[in-house]
Amino acid sequence: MSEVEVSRRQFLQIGAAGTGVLGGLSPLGFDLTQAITVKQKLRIEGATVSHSVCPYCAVGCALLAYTKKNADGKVELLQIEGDPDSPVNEGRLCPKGASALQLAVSRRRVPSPMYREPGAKEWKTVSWDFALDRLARNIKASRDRTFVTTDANGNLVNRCEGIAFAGGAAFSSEEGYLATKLMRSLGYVYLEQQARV
Amino acid sequence: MDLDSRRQRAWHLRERYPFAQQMLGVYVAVVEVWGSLENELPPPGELASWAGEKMLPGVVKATEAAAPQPLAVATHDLARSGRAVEVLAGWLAGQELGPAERFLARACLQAPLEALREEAGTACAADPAPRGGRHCPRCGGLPQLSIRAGADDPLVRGQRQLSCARCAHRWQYSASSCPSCGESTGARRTVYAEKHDGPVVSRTADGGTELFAHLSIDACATCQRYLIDVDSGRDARAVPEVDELVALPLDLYANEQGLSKVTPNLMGF
Repeated sequence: MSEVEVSRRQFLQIGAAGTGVLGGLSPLGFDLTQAITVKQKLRIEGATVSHSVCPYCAVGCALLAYTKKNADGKVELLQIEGDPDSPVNEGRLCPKGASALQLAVSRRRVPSPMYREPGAKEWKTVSWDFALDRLARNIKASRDRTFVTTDANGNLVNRCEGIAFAGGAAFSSEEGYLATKLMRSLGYVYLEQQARV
Repeated sequence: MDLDSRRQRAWHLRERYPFAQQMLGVYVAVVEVWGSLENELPPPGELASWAGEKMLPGVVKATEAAAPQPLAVATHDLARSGRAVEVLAGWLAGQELGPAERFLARACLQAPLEALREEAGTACAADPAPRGGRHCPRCGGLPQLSIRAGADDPLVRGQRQLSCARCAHRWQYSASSCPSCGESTGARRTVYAEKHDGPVVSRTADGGTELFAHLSIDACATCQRYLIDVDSGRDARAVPEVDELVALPLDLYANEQGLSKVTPNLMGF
């Protein structure tokens, strides 16, 4: 150290300057030139943290979802991870839950219906109108073919025994309610739903 | 208190982060002083005077040898002024200190406070700060940094601990609440980190090019304060107290955003 004396005024300046940066030096004299250059090259993004619950099974693992709002106003989902504060999963997620991000973001998502004609080897892209019409026709054909009006004892039952319905765990309560109403209206009796919270 | 791992980590980080060489050089010099008195157990009731006698000369000498001139001169003059023990006592009592005073107090007192373990509370009995919650349950100090525990499984997010700026004791704290004001509304809390190309599914390193993959800024819009978060799950070799020092560019970025750290670290950032 050189014998340069620091006056009381200078010492107080050092003490009062906080973490401010003056001329590339920190208040304690550290050279920040390189750090400032590194900082300027960094690509930093800010994410807000939201709480959620895994949609898949009945365990109800708590999730933390990191999102950011883009310049165009759209919210982008960046990351999902287990909530370490949750008494249910204590930050843990199963492989399926850990990939819950892909419910919203997936480069492998098929964006439109695909159709393989009977006897064909190739899939082809079709419109939603075509797919929905085709589904409706097939459902009606199966229902008409397997509809039962009376059971073996002659009781009136009016049910369809040829189609079953299985709901996925990602259903919300409202979606499950709507699906049940629709299936019952068609006369289905074989309904199943993967339970969740 | 594992001084060897801190020393080795500091040497390793000096090569990896050249911009922090000067700071890590000072840190290693101070750690050497801590190591020279590692086997002495200080009296908790008279810690300031003990540290003034035992630690201060070594810390001043190490600072003069390794630190930039303004810090070296300020430390030297403070030691000569006869106020040093008063400053150390002030740090133990939770008084506001300037950066140079804070550096001297922390460099002289952190190691003995760590060595005292539970009795660090006795040494800091004059500090009226509450114990527990956002303050150190042992000595009442404020948090210096946030640490995410590592785990063998990349699908596990470790629990969060805060590390005390005064006695380096670690305690568990909610991962989704602000360590400064307790804000827990997600929209008020922002994590600033280096941009990762593509979505992140697990915490396994996936060949990303980030310089600070295991470091981030845990900020709160309510109180405008932040802490550096060290994720041991992303770098198992991290020694949080040392790694926090190299987050300097992140500190500069946080300052640009109008944020101030809950407690500046040993080097004043």
